[in-house]
Amino acid sequence: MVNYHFLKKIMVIGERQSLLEMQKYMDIAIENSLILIEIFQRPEDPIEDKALRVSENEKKADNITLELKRNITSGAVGSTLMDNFLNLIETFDDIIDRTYWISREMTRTKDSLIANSFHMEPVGNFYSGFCAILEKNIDAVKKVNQMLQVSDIDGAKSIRTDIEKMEEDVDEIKDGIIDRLYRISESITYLTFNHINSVVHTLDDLLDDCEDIADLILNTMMSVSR
Amino acid sequence: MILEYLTIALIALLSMIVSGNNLSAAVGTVVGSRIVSRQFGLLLGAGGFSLGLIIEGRFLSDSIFRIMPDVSYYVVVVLLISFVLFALATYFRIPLSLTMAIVGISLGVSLRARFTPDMPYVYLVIAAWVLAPFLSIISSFYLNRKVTAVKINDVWEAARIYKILLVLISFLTAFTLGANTFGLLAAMGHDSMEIITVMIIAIFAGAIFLSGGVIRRVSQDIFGMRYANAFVSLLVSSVLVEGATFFSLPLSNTQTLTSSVFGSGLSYNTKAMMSKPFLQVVAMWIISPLFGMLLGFLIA
Repeated sequence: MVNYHFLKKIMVIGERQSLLEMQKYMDIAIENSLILIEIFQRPEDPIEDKALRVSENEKKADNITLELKRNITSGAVGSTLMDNFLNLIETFDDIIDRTYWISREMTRTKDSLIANSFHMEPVGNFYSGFCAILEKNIDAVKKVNQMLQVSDIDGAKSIRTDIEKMEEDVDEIKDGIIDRLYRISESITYLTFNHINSVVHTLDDLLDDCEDIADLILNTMMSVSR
Repeated sequence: MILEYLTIALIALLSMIVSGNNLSAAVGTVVGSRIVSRQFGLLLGAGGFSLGLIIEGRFLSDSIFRIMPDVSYYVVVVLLISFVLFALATYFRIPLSLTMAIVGISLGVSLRARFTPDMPYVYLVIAAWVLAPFLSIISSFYLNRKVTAVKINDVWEAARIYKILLVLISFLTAFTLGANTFGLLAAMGHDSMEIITVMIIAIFAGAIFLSGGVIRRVSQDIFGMRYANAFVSLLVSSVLVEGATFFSLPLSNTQTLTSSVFGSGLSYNTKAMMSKPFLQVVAMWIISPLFGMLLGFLIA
């Protein structure tokens, strides 16, 4: 009699399944980015509910990370690719953690700005740049999602190039924001300077993570087929 | 009578150690890459060894006594020295080839017993030992290049095919090792039913009780290879050992596998290979038979 479990193990590609499971992060990353865009577009509005949604999403992502790590270390992926997959999971989780950090930063900054009777105008201009980066991040996450589903190396390489281009665009936006920040640094408080500087770097890291994920997926695909 | 029992016991012990030691060479890739479980890997390997011994082991039946006298005392001496050498090598983690050691010891014993071996056959065996690594390296080098140059449209379909092929080739590797190395051991007991039965029990016992550490280490360290490399290396190695079996030539599976892994590594343009371990193994291929010969001559 043919052993069903054995056949299943041979026919189902653990690496493929694990990559598809990582799609669970995508919706969370996109939702958190959209919430952050809402926050940056209307910084005057209350943000507690939005920050709470981001926080809940972060917890969901932690659970996904735990489950995926358990699957991978208990036999879904071979030992040679295990490090690759664990890195992938960590990087996906980092994206969600960074969006959570930004929402926390916004809550703290807003409280501080309001408490100190500061105006939002000096930072408002920068927020439109943040929204542009987050929109690019959503596009990059969608590209990563596509990459998780493709089966051909050329297709994966082409998506990776698109993500790389997005990351370069975001680098330019980030540089523009930092240049502008230094130009007006005399007229803003240290708190505002630090807030803009740290958020823009964290936003840039989101795209760097997407690029790292694209590299790891491509490496995995090349490893299993060559 | 005592010598006969001693022969059976030593063949059983050697079969156990060889099975435990070589299981990783055959099924390390499929276990390490989690294609099959460790238990299934053990079954696949031990089953392959046993079937190889039963079906093709007889091809080696007229090999050993063309090199050494068919005398029970000398057979026991050869087995005893082989056992001590192999046990020490296993303990100190020295990559000793049992096939090469047995042939070397047998030649030493023949010299001492003033027995004239079938010299053309001895030359043929030596030629096979010299040629096999070169053939392995060259074949796996070019085959690996061919395989990796194939345009793959669906990566996951390719991975699925490789997984199935790896299970088959792992079994084939175990089968050829069973036919050649275990065939050589069985030949020392004249391929009797008792010997074959005892050996099969010893093969399974060795796979179950002696393979643990080795299979884990080899699966994860040495066979940290991509599916295509592993497939090519195992294919080249098993084809060469199978070829040698048909010509009744004892050929070390470790020798062909190590060389084909080296050849696969060389086929990459960007090389990050450590040649020192390979050179150490090559040194052992020269030392094993010569040292065995010296011991055989001194002890017999």
